[in-house]
Amino acid sequence: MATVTYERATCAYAGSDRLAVDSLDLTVADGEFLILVGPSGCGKSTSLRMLAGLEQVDEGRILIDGKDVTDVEPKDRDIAMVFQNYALYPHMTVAENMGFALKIAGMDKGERRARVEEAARLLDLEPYLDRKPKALSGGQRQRVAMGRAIVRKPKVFLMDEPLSNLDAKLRVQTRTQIASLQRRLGITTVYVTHDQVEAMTMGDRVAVLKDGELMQVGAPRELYDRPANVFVAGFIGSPAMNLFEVPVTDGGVRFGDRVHPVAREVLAANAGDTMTLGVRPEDFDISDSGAAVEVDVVEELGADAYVYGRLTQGGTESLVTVRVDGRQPPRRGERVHVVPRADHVHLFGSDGVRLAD
Amino acid sequence: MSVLSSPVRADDAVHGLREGRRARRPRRRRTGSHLFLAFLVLYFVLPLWFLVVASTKSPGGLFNSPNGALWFGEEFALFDNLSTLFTYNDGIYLRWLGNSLLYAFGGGIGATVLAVLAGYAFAKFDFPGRRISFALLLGAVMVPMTALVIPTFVMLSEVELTNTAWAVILPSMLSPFGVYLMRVYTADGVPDELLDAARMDGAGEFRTFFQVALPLMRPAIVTVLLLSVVGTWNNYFLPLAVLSDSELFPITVGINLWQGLAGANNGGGVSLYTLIVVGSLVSIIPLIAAFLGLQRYWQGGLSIGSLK
Repeated sequence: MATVTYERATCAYAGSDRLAVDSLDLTVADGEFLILVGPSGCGKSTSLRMLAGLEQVDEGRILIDGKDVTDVEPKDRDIAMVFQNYALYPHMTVAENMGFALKIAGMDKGERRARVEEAARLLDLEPYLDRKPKALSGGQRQRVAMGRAIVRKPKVFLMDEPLSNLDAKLRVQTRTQIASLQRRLGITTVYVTHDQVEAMTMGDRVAVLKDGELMQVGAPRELYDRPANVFVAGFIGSPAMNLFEVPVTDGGVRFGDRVHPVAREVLAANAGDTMTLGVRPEDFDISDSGAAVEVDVVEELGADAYVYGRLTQGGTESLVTVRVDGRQPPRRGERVHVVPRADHVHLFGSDGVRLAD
Repeated sequence: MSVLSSPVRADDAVHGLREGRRARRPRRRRTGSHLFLAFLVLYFVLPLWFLVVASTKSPGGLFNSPNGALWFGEEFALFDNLSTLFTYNDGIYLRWLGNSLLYAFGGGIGATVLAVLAGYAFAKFDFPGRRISFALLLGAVMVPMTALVIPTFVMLSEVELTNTAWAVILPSMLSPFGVYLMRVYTADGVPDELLDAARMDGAGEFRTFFQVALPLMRPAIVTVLLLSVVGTWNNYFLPLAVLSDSELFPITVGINLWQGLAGANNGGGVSLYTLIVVGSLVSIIPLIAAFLGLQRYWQGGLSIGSLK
C-alpha cells in the first residue's frame, strides 16, 4: 500500500540530445491503477524503469510512500515488476521462479511454499508448479510472471507491456483478469502500454506521454471527452478522432459549407488565423448538406459501420472517418454529406492546446 | 469399389514415382561431395590409424614390417610396449602425464574462470574504458600465443618463476578468445531483463551472477573450458621455453626429449621410437575421452563461435 510521486523526474540517455523523460510530475494514489501510454519512444518504459530503479534519475526525485527513493537500489524499494518478455528464470521451476524473491528475503521454506501456492491458486497455476518455463504456453508464462510479482506482496506493482506477447483473444481475456486482480489485491500499480484500448479499459487514470513529456493525465472518460491537446485527441480513441485545420471566420470557424460558432473570447485567445477542429467518428450526422465526403472504404462491423473517405475543404483534401448506422451504410464511391454535432466538437488553437468548449 | 479405388492407386503410383525421382536426383548430384568427404576422412584418420597400428608392433617390427606401415606386424606387442612405457626411466612418462594433467586443468580452469568473469563484465556492465579494452582484447585474439612465448619467458624470469609449474599455468590462464566467446554468448544468451528481474527480486550483483546468469552461461563455459584445456594440453612451445627440468615436462616436451635421444641412439638398450609411438597414443586418450564426454556442449559451442 503506497503512493508514488514523480517530482520533476528527468532522464537523459547518453549520446542523445533529447531527454528520454522531461521533468515528469505525476502522483499515483494509494491502490490506484495508473496507465502510462504513448507511442513508442515516448518515455513511458523509461519512466517505469526509473521508478523501478533500473534507470538513473538525472534530475528531480521519485518518492514511494513519501520516502525519497531516487538513490535507493531496486532491491530495497519493495516493488515488483512484470516484464514484457516475462524474464522468467529458465533454469528454475515455476515454484522456484515465484519463490526466488522470498528465498532471497530469507523467508523459511514452509511459509514460502504457502505463499507460492496461494498465488498459484489465484492464477490457476497449481498444476504447473514443478514445470520449467519452457514447458509452458505463452499465457501460462505470463501468469507466472504475474505470480512472481504477487507473492512478494510489494508496495507497488510495475508492469511493462505484459500483454504484448499474447495473441489477441488471450490479451482481451488477460486484460480483464489483471484489472480485477489488481482491484482485489488493492496494490498500487503502474502499467505501461502502447495500446490505447488497454489504457482506456484497465486503468483508474491514464497518463499520456509524448517525446518524454506528460501530455495529460486523467480518468479514461475525461481523456476521451476533453483531450487537453491535439496529440491526446488523436491518440485516444479508436478509430482516431478526425482533426481538421479550419480557417477562422467572423464568429466561428468554417467547416464545409457552414460556420461552426465559437465564443468571442475563445476566438480572441487563439493566436493564428486557423484552428484545429476535432470530431470523433461517432459525432458526425449524415445530412443533405454539410461537408462532402467521397467514400473510399466501408468497414461493416454489424451494429456499426465505419466510412473512410476524403473530405475536401478549402482546396485541401483530408482523410475522414465517420461512424454510420450499420444497417444502411453508404457504398464505396458514393458521396455523402456530414455535419458535426455542435456540442461534441473539440477545438484546439494553432499551438495545439485545447480551447475552452 | 474397384472403379473407385483404381484412380486412387494410379494417383499413388504417380506420387510414388515423383517421390522416387525427387529422392534419386540429389543423391546423384552428391556423389562428388561424398567422394571428397571420403578423401577427407581418409586424410584425417590415416595418421591415427598409423599410430594405433604402430603401437602394437615390436621394436624390430616398427621399421621392418612385412605388411607395411599401415597394417599390423607379425607380433602383437602393445602390452609389452605399454609396460615399457610406464616403467622406462623410473616411470618418467607417468610423471609427464601427471604434469600435463596439472597444467591443462590448472590453466584451463583458470582460463575459464577469468573468461567467464571478464566476458560477463564486458557483456553486461557499462564501465569507463569498456570499448577500448574490448578493442585491445580483439587485438590480442589476433596475436598468436607462440609469438608471446619469448616475452613471457623474460617476464617470468624477472620474477624467478621459470622452471616451475607456474611458468606454464599462469600464461595458460589468459585466453583472449575465451573472453571474446563468453562475451558474445552472454550478450545474447543472458537477456538484460532477466538480470533486471533478479535485481528487482532483491538479488545483489553476486547472487544475480551466480544464481541467474551462470546457469545460463553453461554451454559457453563448457566450450571455453574444453578449448583451453585442449590448448594447454597440446601446448609445446611454451613449456619447452620455460621449463628445463625434465621432471616438470608435460608429455609434449617429454616425447620430444625422447625423440632427440632416439636420434642420438641413446636409449640405453630400449627402442625409444616404440615408446614415442605408444606415448603419443596414450597422450591423446584423455582428449578423446573429454571430447566424447562433452560432445553435445562442444557442438553448441562451435555454433557460438560461428557467430563471429
